Amino acid sequence: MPTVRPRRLRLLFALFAVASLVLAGRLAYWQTFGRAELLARATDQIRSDLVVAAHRGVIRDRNGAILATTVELRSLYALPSRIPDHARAAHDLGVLLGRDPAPIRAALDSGAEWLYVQRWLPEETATAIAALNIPGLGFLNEPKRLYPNDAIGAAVLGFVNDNGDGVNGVEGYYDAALRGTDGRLVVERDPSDRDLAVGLREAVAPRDGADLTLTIDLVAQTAAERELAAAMQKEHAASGSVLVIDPTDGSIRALASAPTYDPSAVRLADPEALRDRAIAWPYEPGSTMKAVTIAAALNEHLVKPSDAYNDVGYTIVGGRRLNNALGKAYGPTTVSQILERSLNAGAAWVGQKLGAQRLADYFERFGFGKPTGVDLAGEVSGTVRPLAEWYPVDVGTASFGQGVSVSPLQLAMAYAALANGGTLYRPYVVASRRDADGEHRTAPVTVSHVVTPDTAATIRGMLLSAVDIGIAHNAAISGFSVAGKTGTAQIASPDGNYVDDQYVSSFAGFFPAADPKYVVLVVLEKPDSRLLGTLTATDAFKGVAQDILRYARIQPDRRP
Amino acid sequence: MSARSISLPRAASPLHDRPTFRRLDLVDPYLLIATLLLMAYGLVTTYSTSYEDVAAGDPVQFILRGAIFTFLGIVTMVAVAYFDYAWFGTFAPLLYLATLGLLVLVLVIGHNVLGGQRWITIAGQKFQVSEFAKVLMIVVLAKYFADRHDKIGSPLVLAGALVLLGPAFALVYRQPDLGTSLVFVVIFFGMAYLAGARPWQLASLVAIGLGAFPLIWGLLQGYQKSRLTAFLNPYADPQGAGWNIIQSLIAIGSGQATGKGLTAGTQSPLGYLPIAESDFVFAGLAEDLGFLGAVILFALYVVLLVATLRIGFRSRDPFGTFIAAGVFSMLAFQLVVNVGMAMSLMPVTGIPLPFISHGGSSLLSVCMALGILQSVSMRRDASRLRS
Repeated sequence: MPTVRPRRLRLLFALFAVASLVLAGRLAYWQTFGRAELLARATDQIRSDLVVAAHRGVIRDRNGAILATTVELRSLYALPSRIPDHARAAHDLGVLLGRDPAPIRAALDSGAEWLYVQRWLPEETATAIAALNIPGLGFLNEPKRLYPNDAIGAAVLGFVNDNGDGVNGVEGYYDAALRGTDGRLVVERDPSDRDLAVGLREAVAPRDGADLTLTIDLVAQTAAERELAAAMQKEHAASGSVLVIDPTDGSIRALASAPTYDPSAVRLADPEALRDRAIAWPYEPGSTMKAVTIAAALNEHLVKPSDAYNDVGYTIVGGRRLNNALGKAYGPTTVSQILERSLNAGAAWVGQKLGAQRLADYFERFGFGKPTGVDLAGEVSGTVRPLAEWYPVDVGTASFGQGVSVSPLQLAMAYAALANGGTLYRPYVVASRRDADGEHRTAPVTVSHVVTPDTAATIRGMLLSAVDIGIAHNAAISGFSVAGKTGTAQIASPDGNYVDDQYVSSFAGFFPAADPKYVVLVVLEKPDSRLLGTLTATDAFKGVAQDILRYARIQPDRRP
Repeated sequence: MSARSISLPRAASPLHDRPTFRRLDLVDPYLLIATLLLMAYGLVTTYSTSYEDVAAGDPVQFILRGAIFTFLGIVTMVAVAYFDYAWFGTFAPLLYLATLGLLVLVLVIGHNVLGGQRWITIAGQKFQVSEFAKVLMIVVLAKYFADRHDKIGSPLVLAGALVLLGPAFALVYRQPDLGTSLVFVVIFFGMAYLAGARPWQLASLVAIGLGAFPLIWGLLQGYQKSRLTAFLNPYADPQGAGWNIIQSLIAIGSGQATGKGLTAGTQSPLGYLPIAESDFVFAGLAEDLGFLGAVILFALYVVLLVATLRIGFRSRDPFGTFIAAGVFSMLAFQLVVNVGMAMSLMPVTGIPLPFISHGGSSLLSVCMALGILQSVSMRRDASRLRS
């Protein structure tokens, strides 16, 4: 048998045997020691550790009206490599999505392994696309924040960005609470992301976010936004803000900022519109500050309401002449009349009686120069320069609200303190928070007692006079006692000088004057009517006040 | 063609053979049992890995198809074994031309599947011609070597075999089917070695092949290159070239000692394992049946291959011996490469695992080869070995 060579047969078989042993060894390795490595990688894939998104909390107004809520919408994604015909898929999707197919095609052809075609589809569109049965397309349920009142309350609410992070306002400040804690679901899924009925499941339930009830009153908020928008339109103002504060506890009933935006479509918004003017806009308040200066002097018993000085239209402080608005001289003038007539010279006279030290102390007591601590994201502190940097003239200008900057909220809180008898509260917008542990009500926080109740009562009377018989008479509302003060301030340019002929016009007031329930502040930046911008601000104040009075059914406190 | 031209150790002619029914006691029982068990195992694996594969279609269809082809395979095996394999030798030149003709045909009218033109449709069924070409090539080469086994030391004989192999190799490579063309090369080396070719001659052929490697590399398609290198580090491109290997490893690793159980695996039915029913079928098997399942597969293959070699050893003539050598080389190589590829030990070349991979052509061609082997076994000279 010359053909059969047993040695070669054996060798051939030995070759195979060795190869088999190597394979078996390798197999044993992968199924034992190598397994951990494989498993770690595989777990990422099949046993995908799914995040079960906690439901973001609902935000309601003080009466339970929903301001922000979250719904689950389907987002369409694509695995381009699994789509057999990109051109056709792009065409079909374009038709159903109402979009040009070319960019869809380009996205599919981009080489991306995974991409969103369109997020947050209306349910009927998602159903129609699902019916196409195109392989490589899938849906992902994604939460979408909805704001049923559109832009109303945008500045208070803030918004939720595409990543689900709350930004600005309540959404930003309370992001952690609203967001809750995501749960986990370890579940076996196939590559098309379908859950496997037979697969392993391991769940950690999500803790849903807390629901928040705000102090915001949708009626007051709507009125504030309406009046602000009207004022903005009339004056072509650069920006503006309206605040409604409950002086009895410091809660914010309405907060409006202009320009504004739609929190459901933030990407379309002007970045400037995202800034909440009420808390993030330091402006020089002007004459509204005179009430603070006089309250300080009254509280220190340096002046009485009936004390008088001779008004010559100006006063000299630190070698600089400070004029009344329009330079008018009034002759003998009482402290009360300083507010009625809004006299710079008078305020400077009172300021000089106080002195820089005490004026600065009172500014600090009233909360200027530091954040109010409001529960909204993005607050600024405003600027009260340290006393050491004050020039002699500054005690004069500061007493009528120039050379210091405040946020609208700071000024509104100062007026709230005057209105409520001298208590400065920390402002807040969240009245209560409901989570798994139950309901947590926010307790009002007293920051300080700025003036005595007597002083506050005196100032209230003066501010009432300012409306009843003073230059703020436009704010008067038939049947109600309204107290308030206009403010016109020059605008400081970055180089420290004042910009010619551009002003910030404002009105700060409260009602009913005898027992104030509401403080309303209106601030407009650069109104077209310049010095007369206060009239527009006053009108806006009145519009908001009238709505609130009607709605809150506050009894008239005087005969019409 | 006369009997003289078939070089036999002992005068025998297919025309004057003992009737087949009287040779049934010479059927190799080990080969038969291993064959039937592997067929059954293939059906079990088909059932296990295609179950729940909703995307690919009705699993019952897969199993039914597998069963039908298994039945056809057994029929083929019996039919082939019935005839004296010497007839194959007699018609070897014709078979050779038929092989080349089919391979040309598939290039002309073949179906394009997954970038390869490998299929022709006969009676509604798709057939992968290269699978049959492998077996026919074994017969042709066996005949060639058998006729020249006393001159095997001559480089000319080896060169002649290469000339025979060349066109078939080139046609399969053109499809392109790199894996199957490599099987041709291995069959050639296995048969030449067993036929008694000088080891140094074979070694120099290997050396020439390695020397020409850069040249061949340049001729490869991009996807072939990436598939060939992906096994070195599948995680370099986990979503691309490395995907199959990674999924395969995950399937294997999750099988552990005894597997997840029949149909319990998730990798292949869920489409994580592409071409799970052919190239990566071993991974699905290892996932469902574990190390134990793989060992059973290997054990059956060892029995099959040892029986093959034994048939070759007992063959009445070098022709039968060389056929056995060719079949052995083919099956062993396909097993090792397919399994090695699933375990990231070898490049991904798309070679089916005989019996286990779905696919009628592969099964029928293997059955044809095993039928020939049984024919060799049945025509051995039992008395000579018994004495």
